[in-house]
Formats: sequence, C-alpha cells, structure tokens
Amino acid sequence: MSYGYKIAAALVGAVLLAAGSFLLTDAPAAESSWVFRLAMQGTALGAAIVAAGIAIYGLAYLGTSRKRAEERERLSTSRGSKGYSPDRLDMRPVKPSKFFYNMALIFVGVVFIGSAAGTGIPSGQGMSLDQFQEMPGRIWSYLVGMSQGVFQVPGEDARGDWSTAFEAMLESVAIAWIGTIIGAVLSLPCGILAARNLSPLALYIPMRFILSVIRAVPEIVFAVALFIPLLGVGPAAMGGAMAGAFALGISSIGTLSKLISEAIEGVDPGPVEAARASGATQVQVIRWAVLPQAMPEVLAIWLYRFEVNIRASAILGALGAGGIGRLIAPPNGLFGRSPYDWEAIGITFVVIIAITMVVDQISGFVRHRVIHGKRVRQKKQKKPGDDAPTDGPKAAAVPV
Amino acid sequence: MITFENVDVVYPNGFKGLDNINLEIAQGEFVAIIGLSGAGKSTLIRAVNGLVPYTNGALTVGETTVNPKNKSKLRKLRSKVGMIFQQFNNVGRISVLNNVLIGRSAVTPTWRSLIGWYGAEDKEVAFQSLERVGIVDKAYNRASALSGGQQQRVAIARVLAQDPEVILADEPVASLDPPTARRVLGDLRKIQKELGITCIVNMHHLDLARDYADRIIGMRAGRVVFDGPTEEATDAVIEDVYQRSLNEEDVATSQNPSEEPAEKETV
Amino acid sequence: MSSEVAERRATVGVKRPTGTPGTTQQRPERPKPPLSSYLGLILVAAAAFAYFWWTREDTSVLFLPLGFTTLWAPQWPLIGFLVMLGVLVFCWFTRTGPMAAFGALTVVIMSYWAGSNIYFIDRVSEVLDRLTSGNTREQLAGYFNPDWNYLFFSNVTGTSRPIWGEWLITLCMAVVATIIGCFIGLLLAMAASPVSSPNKATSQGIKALNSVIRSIPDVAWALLFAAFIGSTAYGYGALAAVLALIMFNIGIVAKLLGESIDAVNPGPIEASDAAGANLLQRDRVAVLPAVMPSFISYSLYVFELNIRASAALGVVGVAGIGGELSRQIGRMSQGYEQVGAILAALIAVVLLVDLLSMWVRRKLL
Repeated sequence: MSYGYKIAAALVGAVLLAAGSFLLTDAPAAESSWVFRLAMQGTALGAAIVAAGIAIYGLAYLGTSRKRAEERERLSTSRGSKGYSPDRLDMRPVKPSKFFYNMALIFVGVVFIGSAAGTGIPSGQGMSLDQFQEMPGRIWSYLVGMSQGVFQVPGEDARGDWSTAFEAMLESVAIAWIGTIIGAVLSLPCGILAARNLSPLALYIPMRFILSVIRAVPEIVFAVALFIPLLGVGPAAMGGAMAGAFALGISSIGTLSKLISEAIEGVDPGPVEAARASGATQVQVIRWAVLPQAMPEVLAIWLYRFEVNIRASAILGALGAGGIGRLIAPPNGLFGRSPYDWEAIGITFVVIIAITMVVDQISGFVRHRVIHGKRVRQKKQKKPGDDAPTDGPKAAAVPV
Repeated sequence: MITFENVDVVYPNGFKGLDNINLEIAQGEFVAIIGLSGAGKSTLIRAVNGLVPYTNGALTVGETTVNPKNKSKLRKLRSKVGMIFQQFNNVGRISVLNNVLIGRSAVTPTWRSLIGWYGAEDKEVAFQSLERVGIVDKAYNRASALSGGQQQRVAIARVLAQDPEVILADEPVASLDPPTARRVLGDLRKIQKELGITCIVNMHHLDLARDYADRIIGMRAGRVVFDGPTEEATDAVIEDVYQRSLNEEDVATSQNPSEEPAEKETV
Repeated sequence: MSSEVAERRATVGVKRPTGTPGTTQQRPERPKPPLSSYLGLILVAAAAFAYFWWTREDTSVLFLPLGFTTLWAPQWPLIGFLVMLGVLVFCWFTRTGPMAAFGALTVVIMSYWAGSNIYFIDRVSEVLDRLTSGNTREQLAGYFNPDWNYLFFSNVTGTSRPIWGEWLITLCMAVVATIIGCFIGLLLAMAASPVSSPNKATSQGIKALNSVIRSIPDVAWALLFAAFIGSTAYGYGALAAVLALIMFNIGIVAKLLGESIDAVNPGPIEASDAAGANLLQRDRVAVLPAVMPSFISYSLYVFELNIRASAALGVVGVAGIGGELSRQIGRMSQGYEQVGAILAALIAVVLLVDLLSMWVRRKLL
C-alpha cells in the first residue's frame, strides 16, 4: 500500500468515526445519560478535527508531489559537489512505514478528547462559571489559612491540633505496620504458589486468578464492605483501626504475592536444578535453593509495601477505618462543620507529609542495606582511562 | 590546529589527570595516543572538547579557546569536534538514522529535534555519512540490533554528520575483535584523509597505532613522555612509555594477515 | 605401600565413624556472633518491655508464686518480652549476625506496639460474635448474590442517570487523568533526575515537590480540590476527581520514572553532549528513548490504578461509580446485593483493563 493510499484510508476511517459518533449522539442511550452524549460529541469533534487535518495533509501531499521529486533530484545531484559520489544510491533503504503506530497515536488523541468531553468538565457540568472565577481567591485564602495554622507559634488550640494529628498519624502507622505484617506472612506462600517455576499448573492458575481478583478491589472497598462489619467502625478502641489493618493486609497480598512470584521466577535456575538433582524434596528446594536467592528482594518488596500502606492507611479514616483520615474527611475535617478549620487541616497535612517522608527515608535506607549489603552508598567517581564501566549491582525492581 | 599550553587537569578528588601538557597538533594529522590505563589518555582527549574541564593553562582548537565555563561557546566548539567512544554510545532503542541525526543537534533547531522532525538537508547529510561508512542499508534498523563493528560505524557516521574539523576517538576499537578493529580503523583513516580532518585516537594496541597513525604520543602519569612520528616510535621508546618490556599481547597481530599492511615490525 | 593407600582412601573417601582428628586438618568452627552485641540487644528488649509496661492500658497481671515471695508482671508486656527473648535465643542458636537479629527484634517490637495501638487481641476475639449475630452474615451472603438487574438497568438513586453512565464517566476520568498526569509526571521526572535536569538546585527542588505530592493520599487530594472548587461534599462534578487523580498519577510516575532515568546508560548522553546538543535535545534524543518502554508500561499501570482509585474516591462523593458504591454501602441494611454487583463489575473491569494493558505492552515493547 503506497503512502497516498494510506492517507486516503486514514481519512476514510476518521470520517467514519466522526460520522458514527455524531449519529450516536441521537441514540436512545444518549437520551438517558449525558455522559454518553457528551463523550460522543467530543469523539465526533476530535475525529472531525483529525479528518480535517488528514485531508489538508493529503492535499498538500498531492500538491507537492512534483516538488518533492525535484528536491530528491537536486539533493542526489548536489552530493557530487562535495567530491563524493556514491555509486550505490539504490542501497538507501525505504523508510519503513509507521502508519499503524501513528494511527494508534491519533486514536489515543481522539479517545482523550472524547473522554475529556465525557467527564463534563469542558462543558461546565457540576460547576458554574461564577464558581470558577471565584476559585483563585478561594484557593489563596485557604492556603493562607493552612499556612497560618502551620507557622504560627502554637497556642493552646494549635498545640491540641498538633498532638491530635500526631496521635492519629501514629495510629495510621500502626495500621500500616499490622497490615504489612499480615500481608507479608500470607504473601510468601501465595507468592511461591504463584511462581511458575515452583508450583504445578493446577495450583498456579487458580492462585494467579485469586491474586488478580484481590488486586482488582481497592483496599478502601475491602475496609468498608468486609472488615468494618466484621471488626467494628470508628476510632481504634471501637475497632475501626483493626478493620483498616485487615483491609490493608488482605489487599497487600495481591501485589506482594505477584512481586514475590516474579522475584522467585527470576532466581538463578542452576541451584534449583542442582538441589533437585541431589534428591531434595520440594520444600527443601525452596528452603535451600530458592529462598536464599530471593529473600533480600522479598524483604525489600515487603518494606516497599509498608511505604505504600502508610499512604493508603492515611485515608482509611475517611470511612471510619481508623487513622489520620478521620481528621481530613467529614465530619471532622473538610465538609464537616462549616466553616472549615483550615488551620487544623493545614497542620494535619503537614503531619501526614512529614511522617510519610520520614518513614520513606528509613525504609529506603533499610531496603538499600538489605539489597546491597553493608557497603556504604558511594558515588561512582568514574576515572577516565579506567576499564569499561561495569554495571552496578542490580537494584530491586519494586513498582508500587 | 590544536594547541596545549601548560595544560593541567585536576579532578575534584585531587587526582591529577594531566600534568603540564604542551602539544601542537597540526591540521589533518592522525595522532595516536598510547599509554597504560590511567595514564591520562582519555583525560587528554576529553579536555579537548571540554567533557573534562582543564584547570590550568590554555587549550585552543583552531581559533577558539576551549572555555569549560561557558556552556554555549562549548556547544559551538563541540559541534566542530566529533567524538567516538569505546562503548559506541549509540541510543539502542532508536533507528540508526536517528542516531546519526544526533550529530546534527548543534545545527538543528531545538523544536525540530524535540518532535523528531528533521529537515531534508539534515537527513541528506546523515545518509551521506552512512554511505561513507558503508552501512546505509541499515538506516532504519534499531541501533541495538547491529553488531559491534556496525555500531562503531554508526558512531563514526554520527560524528561525520557533524561535519567536524577534529575527530576525537577514545579507544574506538577496544571492544571489537581484531579484524573488525582493523577494518573500522582503516575506514576512519581513509575518511580522515579524504576530508582532511584532524584525528586524535587513544589506542591500546601498539601495532594498530604503528600501522595507521602519522604521529604517536606516549603518556605516563598524566605527562607526555614521547612525541614523534611513527617511525621514531621504536620498541625501546615504547618500552620506556610502558615502563616494562613489551610482550606478545602488546603487539598482538590480527588473525587475518591478508588485511594487514605490507610492512610491519615484529618483536 | 598398598595398605597405606587403602588407609588414605578410607580417611578421604568414606568417613570412618571413629575418625582420628589428630591426623586430619582442624575443621573450622562456625563463627559466633559477638556476645556483647547480643547483650545490647537484650537491653533493647528490656527497654521495650519497660516502655510497654509504662504505657499499657490493659492492667491484667500474671503471678508467679515462689513460696517465700510472689513475683508479678503485667500480662501482655511480659508475653511480648518473652517473645522478644525467644527471637533473640533463636537468632543466637542459628548464629545470626547482630544486625539481622536487631532487625528481627525491631519487627517484634513494632508489631507489639502497633498491635496494642489498634487493640488487635480485643477485636479479633470479637469477630466470632459478630459473625454469628447481627446482620453481618446476611451482608456477606448478599455479596455473593449480586443484583445484576440493578447493575444494567436501574438509575442512580434519586436521579435519571443510568448506572452504566457512571461507569462511562469513571473510564473517562481515568483516561483524562492518566494522559495528563503521566505527561506532567514525565516532565517532572525529567526535571527531578540529576541526569537530565538543568542544574542541581532544580533537581533537588523538584524532588522535594514530588515527595510532597506523593505523600498526600488521593482521597485527601480529592477533598482538597473539592473545597477549592467550592462545591458541597456530596454530588459535585468530575473536576475534583480528575484533578485528584492527576496529582496521584504525577506522584507515581515521577517516582518510578525518576528511578528509570537515574539508571539510564550514561554513554549516549555523553555522546550527544560531545555532538554539541543542548539540554532539551540531549534529553529528547538520549534519555527519552531509553525510558520510553518503562514510561509506557507505567502509564498502563497507572490507568489500571486510576479505575480502582476512582472507586475509592467515590466515598468522598465525587462523580463516577465510586459515588454510587458508597451510596449503596451507606444504605447499610438494604444494599448488599447492589454492592455485590458493583464489586463484581469492578473486578471484571479491572481484570479486563489488566488484560488489555498486557496486550498493548506485548504489542509495543
């Protein structure tokens, strides 16, 4: 398919998409749901823009075909003037087509425009122009209120706010810790069962499926739907904190087991084979050939999950599952009693940020120590004239 | 062309990379620098285009003084001074042509390189450079898919796309096998002669230096201990540079005798 | 001569039960960890015991009658102390190094502290009561009996908006937030990494900004933006949610991608420097291609996270399926079948997105 035909095909596709989505704005579905109607309008608009762009490009392509030929001619003759004339002009490869790649990019663009329209933000669903104009002033006054709370010399009230926030944040840390411990204890066997090189297919497939299901449910839903009824709601003494801890623990299992199984699949197969060859049972293989290799990385994964859980636990309180979340969510914090106590909210945010960062630093240090051993973190000072740069030790690949 | 006047390089950790270097390199010369690891060969080369800032003395390339402090002047200088590396330093995930177009960075407007839409002239230059090194047929392959020798050719093409007056080569053939090394170096020598480019090359292999260079500079502990035309670089002189007697490895010959030049000193 | 050989063979090959150690080389002892550091660890455990004793709320006490006198100690701190000592003894006999033993001890102490802070034992002992009485059991049963009719055909309570429209807006929000957030995250990651940023001050500043953005949880962002926009807590539009998701995505992408950029091969960067490229050109030609695969896979991952997060954001009342979910959960005794249906659909959607992103990743990389 030559380039011209591809342009034509893309044009037809864009026009069809525009027309189709435009027709769908009158569909019965659009009657009942404004989201659908707006999304379709946006898609139609985006596709129309793309179609227009492709049309203009195609016309330009048609119009300049002679010019391009001349240009090619000029360049191929001008190279003689440099005193170098390759006799293998035909060796130049044809530029490989990136047609589908470009089309996919444009398609993502159209989807973006359609979704943006669908959220109703551009057309002002959910907020009026007045609100929008007042926004900067409101943001400014709120920020001033928050920083006043943080930077003032703590009086009686503010001292109470600081200590409440700290206690609540420590409760969050406790929730995150228990959640991580629960997740860690359960994730090791699950991870081993979900590792392709250790577990039989009959266990591997259901295990993977269960883990995906766990990963699909947000921890906040675990807390609200399952553990608050089971363990209680409200501050720590009422059982809300326990509900949060268990929610975090169970939802940790999903990610932790997946990462652990990947770490286990990545171990050097040599020792495993050697252990099997010398007649070790499966448990012995795991204990002496797999775990010694994978354990540092597993520890790092657990610690990383602790960091993630701290962040998650900070919001569980918004639903009555314990922790600092109850200070920023209704009815105590924002959207509780109006006017909001911005000074206290500012203090709460600062405490969240500070404790989270401190825990991150500690955990990061321990992780580094676990992975890289005792060696002090040293800046690689590459001396020129040395041998080829050697790759440093592999850092643990721990996504969130 | 390139003048070093009492040039010192002291690294931030106090290590003295270059110690009072005085050199004069003429236009169109092919200079090989030999010496043991850590003798300051790479530092010397990197000082020329400011990748390693020199701390004392005066260093001029052509008419311009190398000024490591002034970023924009340094960029202008670098656009005329190409550099080839031991590890090729190609971007593996993009095409060979785009790698060569990196050499056009200094003359391409920034917005063009940002969206990757290079002008026809730039592309023509890139193609001609690829033709010179003889791998134009791989222009749209990924750079990481090429062999070592081909990758180094891509690097040479990238440098040629800069239309350089000087080419610096930091151990250009150290990661290649001996026959490929000879071929790549031969190509570099040929192109350098055709276009009259000044070339400074770091070498580990003595025989390659003797075969291809006009002039050999020996370095030890950051100082120049030998400087003279290739014919003067006898074994005794080289042994003085290395501070030990030569062994088989230093003069290791290529496995492919048919490619070697007729005259070759043997130890 | 031959007997000598046989004897040697016997010593080397087959272990004789009554070996003669005098002739063979001394076998090395397994190295013992230093005793002093273990004494230090016991001190740490004792200090923790004292702290727990000091701060305990449960006043139950254990007695140990010894005839002439009776020793007593608070029940739970004592149990914790015994566990700590047990861990130390175990580490001693397995010849664990002092640092690892300290780590194990810290884990025990932290767990005790955290557990007592959230009333672990009290709560766990109540679970059985709750399961057998009240409506907890009905609720759990309701989850496994989802109301599909509700999911596909009914409207959001009190409005004329269909439930599937809420799903659509959730997807729309996720798409918009992913694209904008990942793009800004890419720019911030570039500016934050010392490899690609113009100078050290910029990189440090942006790094600090990134960690602040990352440490505020998504729900907190949503509440904050909702207040900024000036709507009421319940029933505002998608703007607050989209902005919150964008911040959430910026944090994740900037962190993960920053690590990839730090680890990028310095060779091509040096080469483009030597070719006279300026900073933007260098970042574009030498850094961006190297991190593109990780950027794409992080973006897909973030899209998946966004769908889950928008369910969580719903609890503070933003648009999307999360709002409906929290409304149904809030109906307490009636909505279990509906909640079950929404949860099942959520799981299905996330699994589908997971499959889709796996497919895209395989196609692209």
